[in-house]
Amino acid sequence: MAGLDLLPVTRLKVACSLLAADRVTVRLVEWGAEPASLLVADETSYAGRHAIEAARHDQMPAIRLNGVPRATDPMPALPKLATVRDFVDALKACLQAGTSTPPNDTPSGWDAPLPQPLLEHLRLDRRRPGRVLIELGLFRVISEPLAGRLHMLRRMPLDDLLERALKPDWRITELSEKDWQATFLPDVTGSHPIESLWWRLLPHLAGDELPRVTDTLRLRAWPDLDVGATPAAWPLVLAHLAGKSWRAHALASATGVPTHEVQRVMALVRLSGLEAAPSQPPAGVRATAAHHAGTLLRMAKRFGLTLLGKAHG
Amino acid sequence: MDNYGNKLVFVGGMGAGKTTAIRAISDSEPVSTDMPLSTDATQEKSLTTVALDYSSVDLDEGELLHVYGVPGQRYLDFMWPMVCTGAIGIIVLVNACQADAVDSTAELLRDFGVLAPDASFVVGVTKSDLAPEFQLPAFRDALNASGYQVPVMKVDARVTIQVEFLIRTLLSYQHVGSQLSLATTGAR
Repeated sequence: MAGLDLLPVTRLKVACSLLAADRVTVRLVEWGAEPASLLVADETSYAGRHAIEAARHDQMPAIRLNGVPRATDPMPALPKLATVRDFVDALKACLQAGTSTPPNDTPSGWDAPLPQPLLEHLRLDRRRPGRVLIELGLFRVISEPLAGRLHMLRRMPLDDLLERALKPDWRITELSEKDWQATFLPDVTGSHPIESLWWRLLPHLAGDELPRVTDTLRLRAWPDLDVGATPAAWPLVLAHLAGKSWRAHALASATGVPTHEVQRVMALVRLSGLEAAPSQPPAGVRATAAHHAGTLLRMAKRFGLTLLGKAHG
Repeated sequence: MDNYGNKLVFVGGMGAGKTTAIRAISDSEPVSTDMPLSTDATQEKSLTTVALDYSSVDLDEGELLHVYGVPGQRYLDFMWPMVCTGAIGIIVLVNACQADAVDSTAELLRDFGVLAPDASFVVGVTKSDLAPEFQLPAFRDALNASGYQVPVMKVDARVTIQVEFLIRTLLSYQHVGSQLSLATTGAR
């Protein structure tokens, strides 16, 4: 559900309870929190409209509350004051239409290697064992994904390396333990956490180089951001991801940040190894009292942050 | 004070950059109680804040955000409750060169978490350019292992946009926390 007021939520909950009598179990969750089979959204709210757009994109069935009935629109519309019976009938119709299976994730590119060899060997979402030598001209580095480290073999500025990170002609050589110990380890001039390098790559990434995250994602720990180079809206996106799992389009709706920008953040979270495993508890966003909604809004405005949400209008 | 909630508190040990950070974001020159250092004086720092810094930031509708800087030294902890009550956020600043950076930060997070249970927290690591061995992921993971999963980032306390970034992060956490709270209580 997305963008619903208290009254329709209450009626929807009762409708779901009534469906249990028909042996239909429906669990209500906030849009974007978990994979869902059906959306119920208020078309007159910002969050609801964005959720409906996302559902259309994903070909997910949806019920539009406050929506304008359109003969050609496959999404049914209910009036603002839809009764419990209205909800029951609409839910049944949608679920019985055979459209209740979760949508397949659209092709995202995560299964294929990244086209940039250096980036592919720095990705921490799949930590390869062992070490590889990565070379481009005078640059020689060794990636050790399992330890999360990139070892420099020459004293060269890291920024120069990052500038060339997207080039396609990096040469990759697998290293044996013996080669590493005898030949390369003595020449290591410094090491960097690979996790941090992903976030320092940010100015060099336009967005379309990264695969899209089409499933849900949650943040495990706060990234090593370059606060001078990180877009102003990213803390808001990251804070939401620290609180619970989100899909990109739902998070874009909740934050007002464009979906492609949210995709970029989520891709970096995954590639830098900062995605939480399903079994890990949510990372550190405490539920806090919303006593100071007005002050929070005014502070946000003063410091260049736009907040959307229930407590803030 | 206009109301509880319009307070932001910077806390940290000596030389963490509290006064500098407050100056970077304030609309007026902070009022600081500085005294000459008798011990631990360094070439670049001969004064330290012995009481607190205070400044303010103008918000819309005539509201003032009160900004405090309080020393993290325990012998000065008598002033912590006075400034923390009802604060919307606490920014812990820690000098990357400090040997016990993890332990002292964890202590401050623990103590101020008790004093300001509704506040959000962020940690800003200052002077990391002077500590080439400092690596933020290791520092963050050590804090996480101690039970403190808060945003941690390197920041130059002299640079306004960097301090503002810390504050944006803090406000983002406060916003998400309040949304979670509303979801938990079922309010909409």
